[in-house]
Amino acid sequence: MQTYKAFLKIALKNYPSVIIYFVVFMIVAIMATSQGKESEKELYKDEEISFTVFNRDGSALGEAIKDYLSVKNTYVEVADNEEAIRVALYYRDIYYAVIVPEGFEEAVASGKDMELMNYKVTNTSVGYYMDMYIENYMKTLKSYIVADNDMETAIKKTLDTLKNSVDVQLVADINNSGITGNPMATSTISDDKPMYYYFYQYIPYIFLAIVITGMGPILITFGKKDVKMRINVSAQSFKSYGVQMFLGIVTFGAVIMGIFNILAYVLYGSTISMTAFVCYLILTLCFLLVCLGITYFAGFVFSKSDVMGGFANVVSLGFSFLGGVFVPLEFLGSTIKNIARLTPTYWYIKANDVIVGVEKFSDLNMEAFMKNCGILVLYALAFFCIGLAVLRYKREEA
Amino acid sequence: MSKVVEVENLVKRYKELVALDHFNLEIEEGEIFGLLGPNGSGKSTTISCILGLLKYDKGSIKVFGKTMDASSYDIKKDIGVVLQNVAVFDELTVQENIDYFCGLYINDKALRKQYVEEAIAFTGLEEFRKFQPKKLSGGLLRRLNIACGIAHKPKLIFMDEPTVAVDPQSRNKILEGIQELNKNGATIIYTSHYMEEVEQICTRIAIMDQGKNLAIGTKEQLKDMIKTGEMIQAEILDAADDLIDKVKELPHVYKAEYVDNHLKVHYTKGQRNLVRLIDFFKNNDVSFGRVYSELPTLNDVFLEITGKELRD
Repeated sequence: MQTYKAFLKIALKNYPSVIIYFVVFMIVAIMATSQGKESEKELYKDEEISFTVFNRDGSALGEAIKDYLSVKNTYVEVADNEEAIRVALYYRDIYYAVIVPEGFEEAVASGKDMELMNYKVTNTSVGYYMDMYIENYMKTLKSYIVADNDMETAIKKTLDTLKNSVDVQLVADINNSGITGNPMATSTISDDKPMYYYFYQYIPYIFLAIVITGMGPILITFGKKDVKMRINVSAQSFKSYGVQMFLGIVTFGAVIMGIFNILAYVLYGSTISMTAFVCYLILTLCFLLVCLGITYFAGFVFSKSDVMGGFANVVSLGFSFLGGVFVPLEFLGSTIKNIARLTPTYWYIKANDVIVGVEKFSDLNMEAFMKNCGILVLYALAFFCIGLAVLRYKREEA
Repeated sequence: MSKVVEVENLVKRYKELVALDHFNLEIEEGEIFGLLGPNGSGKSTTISCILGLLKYDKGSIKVFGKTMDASSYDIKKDIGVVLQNVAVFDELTVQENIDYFCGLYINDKALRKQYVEEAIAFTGLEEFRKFQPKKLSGGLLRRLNIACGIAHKPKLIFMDEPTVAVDPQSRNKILEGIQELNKNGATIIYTSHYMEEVEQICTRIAIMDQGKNLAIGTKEQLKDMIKTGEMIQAEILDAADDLIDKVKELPHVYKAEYVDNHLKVHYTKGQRNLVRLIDFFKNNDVSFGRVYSELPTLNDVFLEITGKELRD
């Protein structure tokens, strides 16, 4: 087992670079899982906007607009004169004032053009959102009126429709490129996800970085022309050498996988179900195979450890940014998302979304999980095959 | 003595290029056998074929009387290789490197430990056993390279230009070491384009060029194969053309020339050339300074056989 022992010795001597990645990951993961989630909640929590409505029309529609805006915002009583409105806006007692002009309901009912008037605080996004919010309401209302509903019915249906929209949550709708739902109601983006979800979300980055950085130089060392020649002329059979190298790679992979999964269980064991944990073991194994495949391929392409280090950074960061590790998939544009499909990280993240929250196997969308894991295995095979092709090409060149 | 290596009619082609052209070679047990030839003459290809690293197109190779191929591990266990380039792991220490390569042949842990210690002592690396290769000088690296190749006490050792880019002191130490290995019973196949080294340590030499074995024998036998014998140089202030013509008429002289105040007289084989030339100078009242006599070198042999210098 000389080659196996030498493999491990060289791996241990490369540990400083691996340790750096591990420590940085731990700090980032723990910070992200403990604080990141809170900050994300904070970022997307409801923002109540102070507003007022002057129903100069005295109509039911004016009252309906006031009621609709009050669902998510705070109505403030202000005297109906321009001076009072300007003072309220200046002191931020209100951010938005809607004026329903006389004859507004009648105009709307008869399909005539009459605009609502408004005052708003300038240089903030609040006015823009309120404009959109009201525009959305009016468009919906007008569509019901056009459909031969009387005003009372149209108001009721509009409120019902928009209430449903208000309740829409921004979920991981990866098939849709944009943000869904009402922009004023992005209240629940992923905030029900457990902490282990975030831990496993960052695994692709750290696996790619550690496996390529830690194992790449070992493969380069054993692949050096003269060392390889000396091994080839020795009494150790090619088969024995191959088996020992394979064992070395398996040991390296098992240690990496073991450390991170044990760590996940230690940190989040109380919140993660055994079913989800088993799924994560399978998922991380599949992704580890991808990492080993990439490293195997790179080991034949690059001959210097420094170059391999650069390659590790490009691949780990590139795949992570594109594949939704650092930026949630729902925030990626459709073009980027199409490119992301070409990365293994994308399929890992999809599988992570399938696993999260699963309590028992019957809860698991097995088809989606198996499909994502299967794609990862295919990626691994593809990289191994490319590696073999490069090896063959190099042998023919020699 | 038994034959350790037998190569018969070996042909190796790289596409259009014929690297080995019906090459024949026999090496006896206990020899230090030199393969001499310029770069590209086929020395390394020959060794690679013998070691099973390269497939060949025609011919046969036997080592220790058995047919050799890539999977002849029972033969390989008695072979050691010292490559031209230093082939060690940069991440391992001197001791770990020797232990690793020795371990590819010796499974017994205690025996291996003993062999590693002996190899360290043999190459004088005791003080550097915990050093990583990066911290070793060029000469020490070469010694480590040798230690990795010979630690398992092979019966047949291939040494492919082991002294390239080594300072004279380290070179002498390496050459002494090779002779000691030979005394301890190892047969050594030594390739080099440094003719002085080959001449110094090899008991038999083959001269190769363009994939062919041009001549083989001891250095004396090789020198006897050529017409060139002794060359005598004498410092003379002025040599007239008639004097040079008279010198050319002396026995065994086939060429005489006057260059930079030196009269150079080339002889074919023959005895008493120096005495005869000095007598000639005295009889013709020729004043002369220092006189040198040079015997033919392997380079002369190579030059005469191939028509080009060994280092061309």
